[in-house]
Amino acid sequence: MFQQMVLSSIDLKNRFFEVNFLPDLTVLKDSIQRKGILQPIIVKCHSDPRLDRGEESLQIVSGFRRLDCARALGLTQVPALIVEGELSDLALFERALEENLFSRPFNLIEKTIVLQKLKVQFHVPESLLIEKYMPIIGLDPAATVYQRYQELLNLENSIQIYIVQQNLPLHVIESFLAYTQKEQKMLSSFLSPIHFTVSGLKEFLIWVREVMVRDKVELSEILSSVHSCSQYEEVKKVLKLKRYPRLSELEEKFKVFKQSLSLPLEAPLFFEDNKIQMKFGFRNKIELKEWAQKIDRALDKKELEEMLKLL
Amino acid sequence: MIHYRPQKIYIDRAVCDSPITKNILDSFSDIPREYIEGKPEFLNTLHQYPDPIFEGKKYLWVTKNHGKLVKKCGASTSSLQNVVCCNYTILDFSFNCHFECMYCFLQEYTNLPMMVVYANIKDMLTSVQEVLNSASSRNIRIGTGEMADSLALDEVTGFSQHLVPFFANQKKALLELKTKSTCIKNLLNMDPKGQTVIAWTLSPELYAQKYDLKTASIKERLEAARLCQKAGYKIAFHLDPLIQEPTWKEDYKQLVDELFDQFNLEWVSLGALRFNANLKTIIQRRFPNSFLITGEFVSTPDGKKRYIRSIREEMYETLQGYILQKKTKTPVYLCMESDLVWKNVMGYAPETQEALERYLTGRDSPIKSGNDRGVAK
Ligand code: SF4
Repeated sequence: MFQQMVLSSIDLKNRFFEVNFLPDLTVLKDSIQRKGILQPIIVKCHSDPRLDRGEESLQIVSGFRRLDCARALGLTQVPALIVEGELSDLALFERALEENLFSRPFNLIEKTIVLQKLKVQFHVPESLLIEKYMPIIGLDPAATVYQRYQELLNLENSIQIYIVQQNLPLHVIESFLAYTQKEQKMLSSFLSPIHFTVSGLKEFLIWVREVMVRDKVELSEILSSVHSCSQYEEVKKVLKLKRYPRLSELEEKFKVFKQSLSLPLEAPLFFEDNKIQMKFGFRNKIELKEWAQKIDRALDKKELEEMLKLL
Repeated sequence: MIHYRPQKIYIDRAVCDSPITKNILDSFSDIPREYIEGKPEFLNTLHQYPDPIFEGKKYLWVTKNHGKLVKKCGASTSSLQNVVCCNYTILDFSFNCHFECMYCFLQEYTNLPMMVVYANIKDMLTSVQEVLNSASSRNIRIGTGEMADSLALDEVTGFSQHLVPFFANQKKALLELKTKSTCIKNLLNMDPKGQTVIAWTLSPELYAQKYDLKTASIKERLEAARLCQKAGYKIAFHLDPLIQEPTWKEDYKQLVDELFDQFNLEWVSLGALRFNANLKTIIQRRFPNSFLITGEFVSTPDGKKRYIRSIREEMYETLQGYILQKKTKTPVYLCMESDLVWKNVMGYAPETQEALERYLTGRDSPIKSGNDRGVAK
């Protein structure tokens, strides 16, 4: 049976069972404002060392988001269910997990928090954690995956926020792990104003890291060379020059020669092959003749010679 | 060099009586062993390990190779446009290697990360004999170093004691044992009769220290090569992978000087660093912040990442230049390169696989067909 509970009797500071990271409360708050809290929160009696001997507080097991909304909305009472009996903290945590999963998917950082709490707070052995709990939160039961999620704990807080806000997949997040926490902080303030595609962001992170390793330069130096860019395409252009100097030079020269030859020429992919392609259309003999004349003129230009030397 | 020592040995009952199995068990008499049929149970538990590649190598599986024992090298089936293949034949005697070279493509075989030795030596020799019987060529090169180092475990398995005498008794093929080890003890007591080439894969010493984590040093490899040459073996070197470190020009100059001043070589191959996109991810994960993958790599038609062609050509031309200065007749070939690169670097591309094969076995000179830039080399 649930009962209406005075909000102040619940210890809102105790987040022992919480797994939320950056929850979006807007929709929930609107709903609570309209209809109130429909599903009771779950609490348990908890002897609190901060209180007088013998006194107990109510510890939240699940319903952290609802309670945060209630507080923000100035509610004084909430429906709550007090769990009684011999349920262990781990069993309660499992219950809270299931309740959370019922209402929403966990983001990547929340999954990391779940695994970390199971390991540190509830002392679940690693093998059980992998076999039993990872599938519950939608992860493959593999040590490699577990290790990857453990590594996410090393991410700097601002990057964790960025990851959740951008809803980035794990394969992109892994690229952040190559950076120190200090570097991650720098990255988060650089990245936030620019719109990256997922693949673009991954490419950016990998290229920057590779330039740092290859040229033994600091991240700040690379970021300062792109700091005036506001679009990803601009960033990519500057960065490509650094990451692929030889290829960029060939492409640039090809572009210049192509312009002066005024022909629809295409360089071989990455200059691996040595054939330039040309594609044009015509509707009649006059148009074809015009192309033939253009080609004829190009044959005498030194730019064509120069272009061929690029191959 | 770090010698291999497994934590446990799984023995397939099908190869219990093989002399190879016996050698292995004698060498590792104190190591736990389990006789099995089928695959080791251990393979089902791999997902429990954060680095299955590293973990898997602690286990040795002695089994029978049920597949094709003798096959063509990957280049002959490559989709790289006009790839020039040297018609190499591979004898599959083992799988995986404990030497942990950072660039090793074996890291990609994550579903079988164990050390595997195929002990059905009799079947292997029968298969080789069949190839020899049906071949018209007398320039066949057969190597064992494709899916494993040819000699890394030789002092444990004793493979060479079967292979070297077998090849010594025929004249159609050369056996090539490719290695980064110094495991030559077995070799020194046999007479190869000119039919076995021991080939060391080399790079400048500093590169080996950086990237070949458990192999013999270059100095040790060259000392082993000297002993083998003295014992009557033919010697070859593979400068592969060529790595574009900032000081690569001086580093490779020094290496080439050292090699050609001391050895009569059967052949030298040059191969610039290349890898599948998947391997790049594995390298990044296993060896974070490695310089190795920071070069100007681009995708090439066979799906492999290679240095952009102009860099590869510059590296090959430079090394070929060093070699030419030595006024040697040693055949030099490019490993897994297109005919365009061959023509631009060497001034010709072999017209057929057989032509290259003849060239490498010293029975012919290369067929010069000019380069694509019209530049005389
Ligand atoms: S020696 Fe060869 S097979 Fe062994 S790890 Fe190195 S590259 Fe791989």
